[in-house]
Amino acid sequence: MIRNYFKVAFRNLLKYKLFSFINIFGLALSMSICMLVLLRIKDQLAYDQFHPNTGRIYRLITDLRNRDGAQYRLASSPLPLVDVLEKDFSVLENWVRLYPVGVERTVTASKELSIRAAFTDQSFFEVFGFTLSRGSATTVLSAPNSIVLTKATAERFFGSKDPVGQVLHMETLGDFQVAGVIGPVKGKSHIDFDAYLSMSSVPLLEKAGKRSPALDQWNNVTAGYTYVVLKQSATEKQLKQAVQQIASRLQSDHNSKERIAFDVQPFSKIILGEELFYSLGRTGSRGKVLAEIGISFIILLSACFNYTNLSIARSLSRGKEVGIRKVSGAQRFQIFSQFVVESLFMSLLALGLAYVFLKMIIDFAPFSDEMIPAGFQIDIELLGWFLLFSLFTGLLAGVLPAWALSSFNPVQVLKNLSTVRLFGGNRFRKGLIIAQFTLCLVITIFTTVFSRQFNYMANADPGFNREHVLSLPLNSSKYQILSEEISRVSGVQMAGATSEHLGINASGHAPIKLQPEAEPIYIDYFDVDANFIQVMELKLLAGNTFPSVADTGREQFVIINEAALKPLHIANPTDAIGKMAWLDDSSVVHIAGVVKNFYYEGLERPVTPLLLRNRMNKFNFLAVKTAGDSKTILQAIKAVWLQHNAGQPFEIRWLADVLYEKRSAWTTVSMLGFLSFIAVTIACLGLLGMVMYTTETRRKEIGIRKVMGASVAAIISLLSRGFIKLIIIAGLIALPVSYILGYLFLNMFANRISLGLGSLIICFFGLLLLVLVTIGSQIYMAAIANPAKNLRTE
Amino acid sequence: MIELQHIFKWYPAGGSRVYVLQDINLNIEAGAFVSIMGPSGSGKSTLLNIIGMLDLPSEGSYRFLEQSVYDMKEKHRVELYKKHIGFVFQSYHLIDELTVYENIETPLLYQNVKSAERKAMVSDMLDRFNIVGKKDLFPAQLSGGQQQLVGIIRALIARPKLILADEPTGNLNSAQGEEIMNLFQKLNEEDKVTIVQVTHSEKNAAYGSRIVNLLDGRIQHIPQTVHS
Ligand SMILES: Nc1ncnc2c1ncn2[C@@H]1O[C@H](COP(=O)(O)OP(=O)(O)OP(=O)(O)O)[C@@H](O)[C@H]1O
Ligand SMILES: [Mg+2]
Repeated sequence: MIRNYFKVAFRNLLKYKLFSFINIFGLALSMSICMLVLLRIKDQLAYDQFHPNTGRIYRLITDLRNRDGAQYRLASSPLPLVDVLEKDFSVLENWVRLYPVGVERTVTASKELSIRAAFTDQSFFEVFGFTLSRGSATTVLSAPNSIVLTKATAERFFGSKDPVGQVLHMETLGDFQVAGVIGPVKGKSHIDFDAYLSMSSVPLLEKAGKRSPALDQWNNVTAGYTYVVLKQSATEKQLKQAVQQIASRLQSDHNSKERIAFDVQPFSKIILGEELFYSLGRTGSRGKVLAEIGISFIILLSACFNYTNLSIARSLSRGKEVGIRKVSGAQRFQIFSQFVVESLFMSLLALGLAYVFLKMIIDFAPFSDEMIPAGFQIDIELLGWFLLFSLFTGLLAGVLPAWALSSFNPVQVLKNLSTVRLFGGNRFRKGLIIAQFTLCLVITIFTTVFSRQFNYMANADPGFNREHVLSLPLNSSKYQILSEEISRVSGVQMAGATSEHLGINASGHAPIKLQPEAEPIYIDYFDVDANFIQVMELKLLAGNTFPSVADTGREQFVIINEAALKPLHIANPTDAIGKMAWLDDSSVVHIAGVVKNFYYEGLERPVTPLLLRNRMNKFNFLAVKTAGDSKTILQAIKAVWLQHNAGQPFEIRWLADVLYEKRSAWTTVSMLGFLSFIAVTIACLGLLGMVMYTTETRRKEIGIRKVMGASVAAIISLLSRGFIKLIIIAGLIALPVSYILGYLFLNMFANRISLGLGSLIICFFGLLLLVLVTIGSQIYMAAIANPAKNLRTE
Repeated sequence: MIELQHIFKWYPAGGSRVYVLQDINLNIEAGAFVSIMGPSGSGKSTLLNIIGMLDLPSEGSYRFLEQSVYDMKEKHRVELYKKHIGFVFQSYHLIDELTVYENIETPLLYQNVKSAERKAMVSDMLDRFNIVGKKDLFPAQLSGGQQQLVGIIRALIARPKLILADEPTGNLNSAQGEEIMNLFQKLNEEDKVTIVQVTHSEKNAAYGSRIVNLLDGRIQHIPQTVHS
């Protein structure tokens, strides 16, 4: 029986190739999106599955209210919290804190790398499921200045050599000795630092002034993360009451408007849990996941609706078959199963194609890491999920038409097929077509606005030079020698050093004041050398670039931008020159120059006060201005650079490229583009199906009209009018919606394109044109068909 | 075999009813060969469909093989019907996507006949009607007479006790029609299959043993002679 079903399904598939193509292609497209989402969710849910006692682990989190009454819920908590909890309440079996250091430059004799490290307690290996491949869990983190590396970090530093006993020098924290290596981890975790430092190092570091105090600071609520294991006998409620009690004690101590409260979060609710500030690691965002599920489901539904629609279109030919089968003794249920099997068959074929699409998305990676989780693999289990999903899709698409087709009365269908009407009126289907196209238009218009805005920001003048500027990493090489030698390369005009590329982010934030006792203002800064101003073609409004003075290691001069004048209460640029300023409470500097404003953080952000500082040890890049972009200049520069950085990978990039990539947000643009492409394709396919259905059902009417003398043009306008009306209704809904959406979106940018009705209209007419092309050939063919033939076959 | 009592069939038209069948009382014994005749629109097809359980009357009772048809569940009705009744249509009604062989096989699929047995039954029939050579062709590749033959074989394949035929020769030329009628006669005489056919042709009606005349939905009780 099943074989018979498949046979018929297969022959139908071949016989109605266009229908099959529309169905399979549309389903496959939408399924590939869903599969991508499935893959991402599965990857995210696989996080943190390897820890023992997860049912009893909780994270202590903080609820904060600031002076203005704004509420924040933080994933972090003050470091002393757990000490008090342990001492005053007997609910804990174990606990561990993570106290992140931030990104730290770390050097060995032969390597220099930036790593993300965190201080943690010795109990780290008891609470969590991490195991050590080197070192003993009970001792590795006990001694001060011990460090435990992950396997990957150990390999980056030491290759295949044994790391245990080696010393790492960390830029701000000093020397740490490797005590152990974390073995192969049994899964992904939101706790994924490159290295873990012993918590016992912290008191010493605080005493030495290398870390600001945090260990006993209740106010530092963002310092660390606290995980506790409850006693078997204790309950979550007890724990909650305990932390609340501690918070209320704090409240009576500190009599301020700000309020601090604590709460507990079950460990299993961290992944895809509520959105928290200062969240740690890749916990995934529930909102984003829901949005992904929502969007992909809408696209899937859209494709399934096409299937339903096309099944109805074909019901004219399938109805006869249903009648004959019923007359041959088929029960309704058997007919129903036949059509369900058919749609399952269809969705399995679509699954095959969707898998190819998915592979292409992954390999081609148009959305880069953002979309596809690192290091994931399509395993048997995932394939199982895909299979289940495609069966679900088959049912979603197939049940309704199968139910309708199997309801046919054999007497009626065998007597006169065209009297058979499915799903009553057309209103439901028309409504869905309008919805499909409204969605299409909104996505398309939004994508256009989005890409135009980012394109504008990538190309508009930010107030500094981006042309013919090369960016070289400075690594540990001596900057002055390198800079001089590179300046001598023919074709190079000038080289200047900087801490960070202009146009992305400032490299830091510091307090500055013009009188020692004044209230400081906070100001963004870069560290640059004297040449940099000229390399980047920044305009000096007054004063000069940094004067060349002997490097005493002490900061002496700064340059400010125009925007800094007002908050510093300086009337005009010339007045600023020579003024003294107190920076970071320590250094006293003179203002050497004032530059015209430029968009140092990109055009999307307004210009704020900026400081150019001149500390040599903060330089990270060399900006090299060249006469052109010839290969020979690049080669010559590379040769010089390699002399000073033997054996290091050479990464040279044009500044314009760096900025363009960062600013134009290609990831999002291409993803939006992809989604709108899919939405448009599916909607057009659906429309095509609808047109075929209409022309098929109206063939007799067309024939009669032609016999009565209607012209081809009249028939075409008769047939297309209804569809164009639907698209226009969709346009009337979508245009205002996307106008508002685009307006809100553009308002987030300091410098923005004008929304322009023009581009909205162009999108609409573009879609309309696409629709006309889609329906045109079908309608034309129906209109020119020989009426005699149409009437005869009835 | 068939006992129809006070069968009415009407369609609502505006506020009133249009009667298609009125007070039909009809008994047909097993082994009979009955022809239903009457002008177009007199309700012949409707009556045949009611006998064949494809359609329900608006009123009346129907006993088939001593069982009250309208007192059973739809599912049982289909069971009863598919075991005992075969249908032949004027416009053949073969499934276009299936071959001759597969079309003939279809009723057996719905009666859960085992695959091997199915094969034997279909081959047997193909042999008997001399169309073995055509078994892998699709309906579109056959002539009208051949298609009707396949339609009849399909109706016969499950060895029904009753064949219902609605103008089986309506789309055929006279030679083809004669063949089909001879076949019916043979089935009736040799295999004891009960046959009820709708026809417009006196000649075809003559093959049967009894004629039922319909006029405006009523059976005409005119004394008549039947030539054999
Ligand atoms: N669905 C329906 N609604 C209203 N009237 C119907 C319907 N179906 C059939 N009829 C009417 O029932 C009457 C009998 O139809 P039926 O098909 O039984 O006639 P017939 O005797 O088989 O005619 P013919 O010889 O032309 O095949 C016709 O007048 C027809 O108009
Ligand atoms: Mg009829």
